[in-house]
Amino acid sequence: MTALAAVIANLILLVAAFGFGSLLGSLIPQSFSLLDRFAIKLLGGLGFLGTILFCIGQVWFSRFAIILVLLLGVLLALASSAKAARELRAAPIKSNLRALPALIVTIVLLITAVGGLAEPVGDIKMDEIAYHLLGPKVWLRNAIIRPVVDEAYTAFPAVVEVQYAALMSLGGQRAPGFFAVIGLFSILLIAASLALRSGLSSPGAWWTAALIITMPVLYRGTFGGFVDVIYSAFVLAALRVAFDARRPAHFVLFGLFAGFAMDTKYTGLIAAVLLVICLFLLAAFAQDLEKKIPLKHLRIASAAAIAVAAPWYLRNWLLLGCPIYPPPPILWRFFPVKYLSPEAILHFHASVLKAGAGMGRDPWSLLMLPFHFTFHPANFLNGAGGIGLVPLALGPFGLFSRRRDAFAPGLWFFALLQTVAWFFTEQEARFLIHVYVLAAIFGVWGWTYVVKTAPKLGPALSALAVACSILYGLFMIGSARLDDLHAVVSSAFEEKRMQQEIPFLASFSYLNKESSVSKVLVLEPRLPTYYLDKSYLKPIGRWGEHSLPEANNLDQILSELPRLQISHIMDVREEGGSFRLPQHSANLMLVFQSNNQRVFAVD
Amino acid sequence: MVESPENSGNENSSGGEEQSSFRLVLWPRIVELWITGVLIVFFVVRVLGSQTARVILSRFGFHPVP
Repeated sequence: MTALAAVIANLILLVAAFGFGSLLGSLIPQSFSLLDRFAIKLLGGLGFLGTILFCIGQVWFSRFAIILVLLLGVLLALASSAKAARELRAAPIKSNLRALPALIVTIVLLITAVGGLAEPVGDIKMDEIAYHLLGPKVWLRNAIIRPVVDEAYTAFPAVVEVQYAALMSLGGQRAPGFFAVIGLFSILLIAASLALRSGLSSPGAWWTAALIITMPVLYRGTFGGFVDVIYSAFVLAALRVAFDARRPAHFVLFGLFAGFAMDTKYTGLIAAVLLVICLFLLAAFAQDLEKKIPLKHLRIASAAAIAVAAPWYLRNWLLLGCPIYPPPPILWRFFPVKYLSPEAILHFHASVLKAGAGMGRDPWSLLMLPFHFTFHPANFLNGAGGIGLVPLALGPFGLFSRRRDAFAPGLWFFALLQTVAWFFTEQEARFLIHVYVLAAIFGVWGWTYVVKTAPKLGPALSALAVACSILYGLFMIGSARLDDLHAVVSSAFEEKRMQQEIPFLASFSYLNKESSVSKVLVLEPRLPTYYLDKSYLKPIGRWGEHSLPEANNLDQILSELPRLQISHIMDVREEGGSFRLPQHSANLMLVFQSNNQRVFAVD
Repeated sequence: MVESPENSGNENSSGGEEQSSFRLVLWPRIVELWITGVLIVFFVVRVLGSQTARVILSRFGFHPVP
């Protein structure tokens, strides 16, 4: 499909999301501005759309089903458009645009839009190829949403990935890449909403947007299939609603966003609990009677969160044996799971702990975290480029200047709780994006404080810190997307890149084109089956998943090929390894071979 | 530039002469020093210490400590 189809598919999804988001109108606090409502409706709509597609996809996930759901969303959007137009007309017309930060935001959005149209490439080390796009592709092929048993990560909550599937179905393989624009747009909206609510002026909100969009770590969480930006936007939306919630309906909305965060990543479970604790403590110590929250309201929020998250976790429990799959060490003894042996689970957790070790878990490392994030971000997984200078250079003054404010302590208290939880669980840089957004807001507050407090050199120094952050971030983002941009404008380069970066491309091309191929047996656990357009069976997955009881016994599998309806076998040789099958085997005919790769047809 | 918030910089200034001197003279210098420090460390560690800068510097005969 062409790039145009990818763009149109994303536009349809965006409109449908707004349509479902319009259902939330009555839950939004009256005090919310037009911008706040816009952000809440977009994010709420994305959460609803993903959840609806997931629930319907459990029984029916054809293109027709997807179109029906999207059509319903578009109709809802059209029905609510008249009200939206009235709200727009009633809103005071004034231009709040600030040229320089708006230009910066536009440049990054343009890079994301163009780069997002590149065809996905890479090996199985890329999460995008390993599972973010593999799951959607298999779900569409099978017309039903089920975990891909040879790839445990496809059992993760996937409110974004089901939307990738819808995009793939309508706009082809390039469409999920373009979704990064929607992700960035969403987090910018909710960040601006929080910035304005914290008391920043309109230019302050624009500079907050420019600072966060040029944070390389935040940007990393938006492309390449990553769902972290949307996840963080859900957490921030929950935070935005929580601190202004007064009526039960507002707490339902808060709970829905906490639930959508849980629907996006397992880390949403931690964030949701922290949000409730934070709200409870702030209410308990509030001197203002109006801010005392009845416990009943927190129970309402928790019920809404559990209701919206339940489908994902119940599905895992019913189909795989544990609500969280692969199960964490606390759960795996109580929930015997399918397809993963205890050794495989332990190996999985050892890998997660090793990857998320960051720069240590001792108290000194915790204290030094702001410095490490600013000066040595690459020591954290996916942390290359960091978060710029502003959070460290100006953020502390922002915290200081807003210490007596009613809203700011809630923000920094949540940021603190979340950072400590992250520090002691998995120190992956992408998992803390919502905290970077809050840090940027305090950074801009710090800027305003420094300009007033140190009028001699303060304005120049703080402007230099902001300029360094943004320019360095732009350089890092441009470098990261250079190949994607090149691939979009040059088909020759795109072809060359696919040859270089897709392992065993020749065999995939053969199998995808050959009409006699019905189901492929894949013997190499680390083969990126995302590139295979045909049904396949991989007996052993990359984490040691056993999709067949006899997975370890190749002879037994080969003896049962007709029962398994296998038409072809793909056998590859990794660097320094060997083929699993001899060149001449009984009942197998070598039909294709190339460098380190062979395809056999089953007689 | 960012507009100033309405209520920042309105700290109570009736804390005595010593406190006032700290607030007016020393505190602004501390603020400036903090930002300057962060900028310098950033420049040394992230810019000069980067692979790109090492390649450029080595062309001019400079070989920063690896």
